[in-house]
Parts: sequence; C-alpha cells; structure tokens
Amino acid sequence: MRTKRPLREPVREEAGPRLKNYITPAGLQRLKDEHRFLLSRERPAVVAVVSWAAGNGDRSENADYLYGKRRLRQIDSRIRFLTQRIDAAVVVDPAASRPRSAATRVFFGATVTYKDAVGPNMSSRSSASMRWTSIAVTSAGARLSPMR
Amino acid sequence: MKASPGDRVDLRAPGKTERLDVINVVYAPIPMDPFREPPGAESKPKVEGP
Repeated sequence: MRTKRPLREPVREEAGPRLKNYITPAGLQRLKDEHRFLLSRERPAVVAVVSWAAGNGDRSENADYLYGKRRLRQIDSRIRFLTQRIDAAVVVDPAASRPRSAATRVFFGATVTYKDAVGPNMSSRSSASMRWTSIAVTSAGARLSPMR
Repeated sequence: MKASPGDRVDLRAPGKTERLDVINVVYAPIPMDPFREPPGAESKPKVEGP
C-alpha cells in the first residue's frame, strides 16, 4: 500500500537587502501611470478575452485561451515589478535646491559635462556609451569615483 | 559618483577603460516622455479593416 507523501512546504527566498530606487517625480509618475493602465484597463481586457475563449470549449488547442493566459502572466509579472519599484521609490527632484557642497558633486539626477579623449560631452545620471543622454543610476558610469 | 568639477574619473566599460574629466555639474529637471499605451494593447479599441 502506498503511503501518502507529505505536502512540500513552499521554499521561501531569503529577504535580500532592499535597494533604494532613486527616481525623479516624472519617472515615478510614469511608473504609476503604467501600473494603473495595466491594472485597470489592460488586465480586465485580457481577462475578458480569456473567459470568452474558455467558454468555447477545448482549451488545449484554443489559441485565444493559451495566448491570453500567457499575456496575463506577463501582465502580472510586470505589475509585481512595478509595485516593487514604486514601493521602494525614493523621490529625488533634480531641480530642488540643495546645499552648496552637494550642488557641485555628482549624485542622482545630476547633469554632468565631462571631457573624454574625443571632446566635451554632456550626460545626465550617467553607461558604457557616454554619448547617451541619460544613464541608469546603477550603471558603470554612475558608479565612478574620483581617481586618487 | 560623488565627483566634482575638476576631478578625473576612470570609466571601466566592457570595451575599454576611459578617463573622463568632470567639467561641470548642475542639477536641472530631466525631460521624460509620459507613459503611452503600447500600440498592440488589448484594451485599445480594435480598428475594423476596410
């Protein structure tokens, strides 16, 4: 007689260090707009298509159902990502006034004029190609420190 | 980054290492496009063909 296997416990991930998500007010607004669009308009529309397709019978060869379900998974994943980014957001307004010592040093949101072997360039936030206008705060260029 | 004008910084990019001289640092609004609905969104009204 077969014995019933115990149910496996869900594997919980270790909580990693929460990184601050520095973001401009316009950037946060953009994330919130996308989150609202996905949650209130796109997801209900896809759910409607999936429920209509499910009502048509055989789901295994039903493209509307299969692709709708896949799209739902993508939307849910994106919603989770956006929720995390919005929750971890620390709004930094580049235009806000700051002390003189901080106003002349490069922090998040700074627009930097620099000179390389080719000539002067301008970059805000700073990536591998320094011709870019904007670069991610986590990129190599944004983590530069002065040579000693 | 914490560099200030006059500092020289080393950018170690995958391709090569560049040396950059920081000339000026200012804080100004960064232009950003607002969120736009993607063209293939399911929630967009479908346009019937001719």
